[in-house]
Amino acid sequence: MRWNAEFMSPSGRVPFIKCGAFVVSELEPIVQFAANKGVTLCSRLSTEEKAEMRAYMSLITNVLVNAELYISWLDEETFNAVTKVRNSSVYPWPLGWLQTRAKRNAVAKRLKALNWHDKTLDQVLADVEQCCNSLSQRLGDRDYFFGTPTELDALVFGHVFTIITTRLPCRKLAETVKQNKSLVALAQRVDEQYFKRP
Amino acid sequence: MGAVHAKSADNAGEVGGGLFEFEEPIELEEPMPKPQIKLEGVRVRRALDSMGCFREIGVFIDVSSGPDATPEGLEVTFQVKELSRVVGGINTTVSENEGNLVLGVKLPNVCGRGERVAAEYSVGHRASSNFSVAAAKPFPHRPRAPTATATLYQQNHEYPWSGYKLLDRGLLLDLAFHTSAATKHNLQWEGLVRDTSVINKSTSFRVRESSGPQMKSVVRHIVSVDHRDEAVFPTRGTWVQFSSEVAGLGGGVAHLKTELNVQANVRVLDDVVLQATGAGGALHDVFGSSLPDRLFLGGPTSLRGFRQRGVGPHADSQALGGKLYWAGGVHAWGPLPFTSARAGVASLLRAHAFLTAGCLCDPDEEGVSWAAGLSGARVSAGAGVALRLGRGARLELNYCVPLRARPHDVTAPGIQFGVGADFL
Repeated sequence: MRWNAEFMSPSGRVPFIKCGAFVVSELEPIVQFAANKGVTLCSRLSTEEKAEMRAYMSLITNVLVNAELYISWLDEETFNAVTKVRNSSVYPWPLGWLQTRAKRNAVAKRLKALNWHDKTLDQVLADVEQCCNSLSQRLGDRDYFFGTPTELDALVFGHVFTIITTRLPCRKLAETVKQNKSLVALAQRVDEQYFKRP
Repeated sequence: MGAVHAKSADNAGEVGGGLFEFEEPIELEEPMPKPQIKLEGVRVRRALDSMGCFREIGVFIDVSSGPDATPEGLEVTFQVKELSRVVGGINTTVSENEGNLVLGVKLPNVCGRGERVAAEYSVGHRASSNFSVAAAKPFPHRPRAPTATATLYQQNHEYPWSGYKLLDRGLLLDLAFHTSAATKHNLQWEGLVRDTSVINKSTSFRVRESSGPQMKSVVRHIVSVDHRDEAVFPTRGTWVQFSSEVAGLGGGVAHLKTELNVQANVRVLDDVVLQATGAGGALHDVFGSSLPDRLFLGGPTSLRGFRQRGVGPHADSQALGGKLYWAGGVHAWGPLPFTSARAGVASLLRAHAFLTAGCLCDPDEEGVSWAAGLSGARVSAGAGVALRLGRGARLELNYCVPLRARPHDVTAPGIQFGVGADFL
């Protein structure tokens, strides 16, 4: 674990990977990078399915990511109880305070540009609910979105698993996501299959 | 008999009486011999000059006249012309790979006792902005005549040889005082937040690892003993500077760092000066020290014939620095051929031939003892010309030949160009 991972990343966001001289950050470029090396999960998908997958992935980045940012940085209760403490824990005082303030401003600016800043918590949760509904409709009763695991499953797992396992003072986000049993089941399936420690 | 009455501060203007009070009337037992009066006059003049708020200082010595005059009495008059209350300037500078527009404002004498406030703001064409606000107050009455300075700054630095750039924001408190005419001390505390980031995508991962903001609090002591006759092209005397710093009283970086610089000059022939220089440094990391804290060696102002920071460990030809170094050099300085060193433009120029050597290592990382790490000397030789820039800096144009280098060093044979105040 490194305290400065997000500063090491070329785009300022995690995750990033290092492969030889290359440093690639964020999911899409990493997937692209792996595909260029001949490793891909969606080679057997048709062009339409690939496009559909992309659409769902961008739905997640547009809704779930913003909702997570909103709850962790703009919801006073969560910000004060969790985000502030966590974000400043790696820095000595008063740098932690400065960094947290700067980051909160940056997040607020981003959400403002996306018209998320002035939403209420209920509006945000409604957006999350809608997003989860369309995801679980697409999933249906299959094990994975396209039969076999793809990047979309990985992304859904990443977000859903984090949301349902992180304890926050604001439980509403986890509760909203948990209403979709199929998504929770997908997350548990991926966790058991790929991340279970022996 | 022979009391110095010169106390009137006629038309002292903004400076006011305050500054002149430090010359208490000196009651003399014996009449002061004339040469000594002259020397005293020069001393006072120097003291006034060090206040930095006068444009002109004149000393006039005359036989005294008037009702209180005595036969041996002399009148010593200091005529000063003050700088204006506000001095401003706009200039452009071109550095490493950026052009800057610099706006400066200076108040040379704020409260009438030599207090200075200077502010500088510079914008670069690549949207980097630097500023500094410094306030200084001299205490000429106190023993050792200390000067206290506080500086608030934001500085951008780029280090292409190491692949990173810094954004420093901090506060520097400095107390400068003299313990003898040649010995100057600086006691400093500096608190800063530095933001390290990589310059571009091709920066080595080793450099990338030290990205991120860090806070550092440093206590520093710099002592220099200068017995040279002149700083830029000395002809005799020695100079020693020793700086030590302790980081870690607060902040996320803790280390001990010391550096030593020495210089000795001997005139061997009429116009030929032999100069020997030496430098050494050590860094002991306690926790959190990263790339910008480390020591570096090489470049046109230190070990010539190598690229800037070109000596020591590199990753993808980007300097990683070390924890120990030593360096030394021998120079033979003379006037340019066919000219004399004393006349005209030629007095600003010197020719020199040099031999420099040094070594930088990181014993912990290389897994060797420090003695073994420091034995891998690099040697370079060359010759060139130097141009004096004002009273403190010089510009050198040299032809350098690296004679001994290690495989990972980055050498720079051929013409090398350097500007600086302190040279090896």
